[in-house]
Amino acid sequence: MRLTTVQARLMATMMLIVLLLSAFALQMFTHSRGTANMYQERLADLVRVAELTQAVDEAARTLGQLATDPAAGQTEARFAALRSEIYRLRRELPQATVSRTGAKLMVDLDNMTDSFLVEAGAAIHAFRAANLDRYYEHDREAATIARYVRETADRLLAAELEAFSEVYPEVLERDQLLQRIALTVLAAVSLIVVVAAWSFARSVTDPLQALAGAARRIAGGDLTGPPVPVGVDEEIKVLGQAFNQMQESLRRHMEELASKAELERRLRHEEMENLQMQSLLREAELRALQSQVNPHFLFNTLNMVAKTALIEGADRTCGLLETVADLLRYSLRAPDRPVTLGEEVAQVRRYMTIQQERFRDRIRFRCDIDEPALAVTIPCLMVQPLVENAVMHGIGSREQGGTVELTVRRAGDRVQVVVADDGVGIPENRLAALIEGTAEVNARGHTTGLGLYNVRRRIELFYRDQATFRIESAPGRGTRCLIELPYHVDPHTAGADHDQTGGENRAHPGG
Amino acid sequence: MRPSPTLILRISITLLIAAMLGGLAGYLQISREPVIAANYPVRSGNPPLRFLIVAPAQDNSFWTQVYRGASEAAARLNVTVEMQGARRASVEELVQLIDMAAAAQVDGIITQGVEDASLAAVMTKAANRGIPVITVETDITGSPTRRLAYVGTDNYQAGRLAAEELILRTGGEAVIGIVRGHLGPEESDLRLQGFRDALTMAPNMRIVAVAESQLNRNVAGRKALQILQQYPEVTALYATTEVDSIGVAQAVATVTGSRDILVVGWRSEQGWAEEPLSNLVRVSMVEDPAAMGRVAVEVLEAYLRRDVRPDRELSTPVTVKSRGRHL
Repeated sequence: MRLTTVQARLMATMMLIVLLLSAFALQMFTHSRGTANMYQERLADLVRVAELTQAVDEAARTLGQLATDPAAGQTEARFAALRSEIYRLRRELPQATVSRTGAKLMVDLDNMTDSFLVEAGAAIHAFRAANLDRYYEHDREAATIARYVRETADRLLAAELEAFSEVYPEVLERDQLLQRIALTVLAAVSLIVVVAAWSFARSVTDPLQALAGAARRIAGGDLTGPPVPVGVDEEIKVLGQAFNQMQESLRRHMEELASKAELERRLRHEEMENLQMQSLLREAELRALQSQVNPHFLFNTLNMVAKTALIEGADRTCGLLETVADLLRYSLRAPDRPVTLGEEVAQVRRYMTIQQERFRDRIRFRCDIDEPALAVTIPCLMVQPLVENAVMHGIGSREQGGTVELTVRRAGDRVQVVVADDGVGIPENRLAALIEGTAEVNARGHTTGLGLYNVRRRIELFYRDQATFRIESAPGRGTRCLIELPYHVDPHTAGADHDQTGGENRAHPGG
Repeated sequence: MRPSPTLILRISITLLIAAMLGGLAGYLQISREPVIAANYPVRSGNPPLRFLIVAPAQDNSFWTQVYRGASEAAARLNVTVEMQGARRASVEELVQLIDMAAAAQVDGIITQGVEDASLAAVMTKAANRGIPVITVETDITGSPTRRLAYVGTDNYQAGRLAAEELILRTGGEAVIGIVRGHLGPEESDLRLQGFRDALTMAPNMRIVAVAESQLNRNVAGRKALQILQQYPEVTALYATTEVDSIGVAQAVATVTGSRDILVVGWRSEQGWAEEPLSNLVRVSMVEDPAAMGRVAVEVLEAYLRRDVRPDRELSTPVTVKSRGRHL
C-alpha cells in the first residue's frame, strides 16, 4: 500500500498506534494477571500447608480417640478418610517455595507427615491387634510428630511470609516503576497522537488554504498567480492539480477572448474605414456623375440655344454661345489626357473672349505667340487657370481694369509661357500660401475651380523636375506667372480633336 | 523554513514506535523479573542426602566450626548439611531436635553425645528408622547406644594430658577449680574423668569445685568467679570446652593482678586467635572441630551411599599448647 493518500496514511498511523497500544495493554494485562496469579498461587501454597497441618492434627486427635471412643469402627473410618485427605494434600504440596528455608522445611513437613502416617498406621495396627501398650506408644509418637508437623508448618509459614515481606517493598517499587512507564508511554502516545493529528490537519488544510487563497484571487480576476503547491496527499494532489489545470485553461481562455476582442475591434475599425472610404467613393462618384451630367446637358443646351439664336438672327449671341460651348467642351474632355499648347492657347482665347464680352473695355488681352512652340504637349488646363487667376484677382477687382498678357516663346528645346497682368498683385505671404495650396479661396462661381496650387502641382507631377513654375508679384504692380517647359511633342495629341468629337457624340444621347 | 507536515509526521511516527517499543521492552524486562517467585524447588529430581547437625547450643564457636567443615565436605560430596542448635543448651531440647529430625526423615544426624537415657532412646528411634547418627565432640557410651560412630577427640586421654600438663606446670601442687560445659552427668564427662584420673598420681593436686556452665560463656565466667571467691586458695582453673575457656579467661581477667591463676582450657584450632583473652589461657587443648565435621559427613556419605561401615570411634588429633613460664 502506498502511503500517499490521506486515508492510507491516517489508517496506517492509527493502526500502528492501536497495534502498539494493544500490545502494551496486553503486556500490562498479562503482567498484572501473572502477578495476581502468583500471589494467588503463593497464597494457595500456604493454604495447602495449613490444610495439611490441620488434617494431621485432626488425624492425631482421631487416633487418640480410638481407644476411648466406644464406636471404634467409626473413628477408624474417620481416620481413614483423614488419611486419604492427608495423602491428597501431600501430593498437592507446593513444589517450590519463596525462601530457601521454606524449601527445607517443606521437605521436613512432607517427611514428618509421612512419619506421622507410619506411626499412626502402626498404632492402628496395634489397636486392631489389641496390643494397647504398643498402640499407646505409637499414638504418643504420632501425636509428637503431629506437634512437630505443626511446629514445622508454623516455621515454614513464618519463613515464607518473611520472604514475602522482604520482597514486598521490591514488588511495590516495581509496580510503581511499571505504572510510571505506562503513564509515560501513554503521555508520549497522547503527545504524538496530537502532533500527528496536527500534522495531518496541516497536510490537509495547508494545500486547501492555498487553494482557497488562489480561488479567492481568481475570483478577484487575477489569473496570473503561480500554480498552487499540490502537496503529497493523493486527494489533495488531485484537487490541486485540477485547480491548477482549471486556472491554466481559464487563463488561456481569457487570453483567447482578449485577442479575439482585439481582432474584432480592429476588424470593426477597418470596416468603418471601408465604409467611410465607400461613402467617399460614392460621394466622389456622385460628384463625378453630377459634373458629368450637368456639363453635357449644358453643352447640348448651349448648342441648341446657339442654333436657335442663329435662326432668330442674333449672330453675336450665337457666336458667344458657340464660344461658351467650346469652352465647356474643352473643360469636359478627359482631364488626364494631354493636349498641345496650341489647344490650350485656343482655350485661353475663348475664355478671354467671354471675359471681354463681360468686362468690355476694362480688360485688354495681348497675345505674343511663337507659333512653332504651340506644338508642345502639356497637361490640359495649365495656362487657362493662370489667365483666369489674372482676370479674377488681378484685374477683376480693379475699377480701371487692366491688361492680361500671354507670351509663348521657344528657346532651343525649352518653351517659355508667361501670363502677366498689371492688376493689384498678390501680397507676399498670400502668394506663398497660394503656391503651397494652403490659402483659402472663396471665389466660387467665377472660376473654373482650379487654382495656382493645382497648376503648380500638376506641372511637378507631369514633368518631374524638368519644368519650372514661378510667380512674381508686387502689390499694385501686377503679377507675372512663368512656366518653362521642355520642348516635347507627343504624336497622340494630333488626334485630340477627334477624341473631343467622340466625347461630344457620346454626350448627345444624354442631352 | 517551516518543516513540512510530512517530515513532522515521519518523525512523530518514528518517535512513537521508538517510545512504544522502548516502553514495551522496558515493561517486558521489568515484569519478567521474578518478585514473589517460588525459586527454591522443594525436591530436585535426584535429591542429595540431607544431613542435619544438631548442636547442643546456638552460636557456639566449636559447632560453627564443625558445621563449616561439614559444609566443605558436603559440597565436595554432593550432599546437603544443615545445622540446628538448641536455644538453651539442654539435653531435652537436643533430644527433641533429634526426634524432629528423625520424624523429618533426614538422611543422617550429627550431634553431641550426652550420657542421657532419653538421648539414647531418641538415637535408637532414629536408628530404627534407618537414620544413622554420628556423635561429635563427646560420645554417648551408655550400653544400648545405636550411634553409628563417634568422631572427635579421645576425651579421656585428652583430659589426662591436660592434667599431666597442669601437674608439670604447677609442680604437682595446685588447688583446682573446674568449669565444665558438657551436658549430661559429671560421671560421663570423659574430659573430667581423664583429668581426675591423671591427678590421682599427684596427691597435692586437689579439686575443690566443679561448676557447670551449660555451654554458656557468661555462665562459665560467673561460675569461675564464684569459685575464685569461694575458694581463695584456688591456683588453677580447668575449663572443659572452648566456651568455658573464654568465660573463665574473662573471669580471671577481672581478678588477676592479685592472684596468678593458671588456666587450662580447650579451644578449637580456627576460632581461638580472635578471642582477646586467649593469652590468659596458658595451657590449651587444641582440637579441630572442622575436621570433625568433615570426617562425620564423609563417614555418613560413605555409609549411606557405599555402605562403608566406619570404625566405632574415629579419633581426631588434639594438641597441647602451653605458654608462659614453667614453675
